[in-house]
Amino acid sequence: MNIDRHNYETIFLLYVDNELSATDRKTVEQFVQENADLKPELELLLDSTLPVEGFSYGSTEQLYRNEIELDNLQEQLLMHLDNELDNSSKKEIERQIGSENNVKKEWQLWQQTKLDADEQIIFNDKKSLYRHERSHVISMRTWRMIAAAAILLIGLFTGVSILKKDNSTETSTARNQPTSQGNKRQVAGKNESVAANNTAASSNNSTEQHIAASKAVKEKDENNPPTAIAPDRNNITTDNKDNDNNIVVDKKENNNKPVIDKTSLENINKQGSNNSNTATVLNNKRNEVVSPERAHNEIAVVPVREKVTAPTSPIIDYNSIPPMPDSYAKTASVNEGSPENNNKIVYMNEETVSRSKVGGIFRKVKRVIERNANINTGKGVKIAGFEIALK
Amino acid sequence: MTEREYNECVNHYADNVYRFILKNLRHEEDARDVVQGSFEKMWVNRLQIDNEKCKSYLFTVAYHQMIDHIRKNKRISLKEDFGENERGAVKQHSNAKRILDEALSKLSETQRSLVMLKDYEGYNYAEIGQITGLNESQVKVYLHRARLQLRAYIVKPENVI
Repeated sequence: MNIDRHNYETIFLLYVDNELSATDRKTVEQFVQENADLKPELELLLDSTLPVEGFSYGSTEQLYRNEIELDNLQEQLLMHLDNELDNSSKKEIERQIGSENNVKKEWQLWQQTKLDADEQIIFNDKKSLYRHERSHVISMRTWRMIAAAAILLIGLFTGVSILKKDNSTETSTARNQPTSQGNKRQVAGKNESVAANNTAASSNNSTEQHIAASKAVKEKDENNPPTAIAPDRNNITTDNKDNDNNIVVDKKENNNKPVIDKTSLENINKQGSNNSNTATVLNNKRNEVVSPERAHNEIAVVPVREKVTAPTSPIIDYNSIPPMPDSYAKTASVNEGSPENNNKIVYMNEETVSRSKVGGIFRKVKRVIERNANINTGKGVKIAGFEIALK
Repeated sequence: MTEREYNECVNHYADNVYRFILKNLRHEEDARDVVQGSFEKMWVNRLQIDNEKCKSYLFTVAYHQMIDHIRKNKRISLKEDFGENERGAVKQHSNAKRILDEALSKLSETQRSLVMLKDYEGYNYAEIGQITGLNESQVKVYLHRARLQLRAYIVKPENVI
């Protein structure tokens, strides 16, 4: 190293910063001795440096840490924070938290990292999340109710019609059968129903009385032309004005027509109650002599299947005949099972005819409707329970 | 699960799921979509779901739908843009809570979900593992790392005051 009066400042700074080697430092010290005027300048630089002072920390034991032990403590604290410790470990860490300050500070610091579970954030649109399973109930709107009522009415009238037809078939007591005795009077109409007659009569009269009259006729004169008393089904209805219950054919107007006497009447009643094949007469409270035309309209059913035995007694006055105990004849029918029934008139009580309860309900409903509506049935054409009037 | 049980589940857990998703996504509309999608899936599969496990099923579905949503829309890279939504949805009650929420937002979605499932819903490591598809050890390690990050953020000098 070469030092002279031109570069001594730089080398003096390196000397103060102790950046020179030992030989260079001796060279610098020799140069200062040879140039005494530069010695105060070097001393000034040496005074600008900080003095070296000795400091003692004292006890350093508190600074020592066992790295493994510290991690274990942190893990225990974290597990305790997550509530994942068993009871024994939990008690141990709680004891350390309570007894050691550094552990307590650590625990408080960890607790700050735990989120507040009580924080509420409300989802306002819960209605959009609700779901409902599809219901099988169909709401009844107005047009649906009307349609349902129409279907019920159609079903009701159809059922009534079917039941009526069935009853008429079952209880048919009069049929117009061609006989070899063409000149005999027949009091029958084919496919006629006593039930229909009773219903028609009661509905037209608007009374509770039923026509239950029937009679046994005898053919006196075979030369007289046969007269069928039994009306057509559509002509069964009676006159409203003449609400008579029992019918007797007037002899004056029916000279050759059958008459009934007491003995035959009694026999007829006995036999009729036993479903015999003899014609019966069922009287109501009042008896009346009517014309054949009226009888034609008022007789409920006069089925004829056989020739009627002619009574031998003359014409009787039915007003003198006391009413029978069971004078409400409701139904007559023909027992077609026996060959003996041929050419005989059969009248049966309603009790002897099997009818279903449902059919009875429908008939009652029908009667109520017909009475309230003042419907004259039997004068028109019936289609599916509906009747079309014929004029 | 019957219809009635499903609707009771809505009443009981809709807010919890919404909080869980909203805190992760920090976007109200996206959170609503995820919640509705989760309940829709639960309704469709209600016959196979035991009513006792409806909550964990709901959080599982919501978590996976949220992850799918994040990956699909890359919302995580745009989280600074949702500052307004976040402020509108989550009211800040205290400075400590604000700092903790900030620290929470620095976590990854998995770590954040683990912390919320633990602190908000109280699930244990095994249950969290079932919901997130991780094993119990992974849950424990990830959760502790998340705690260390939260703690490091909280003790920063600028957050201490």
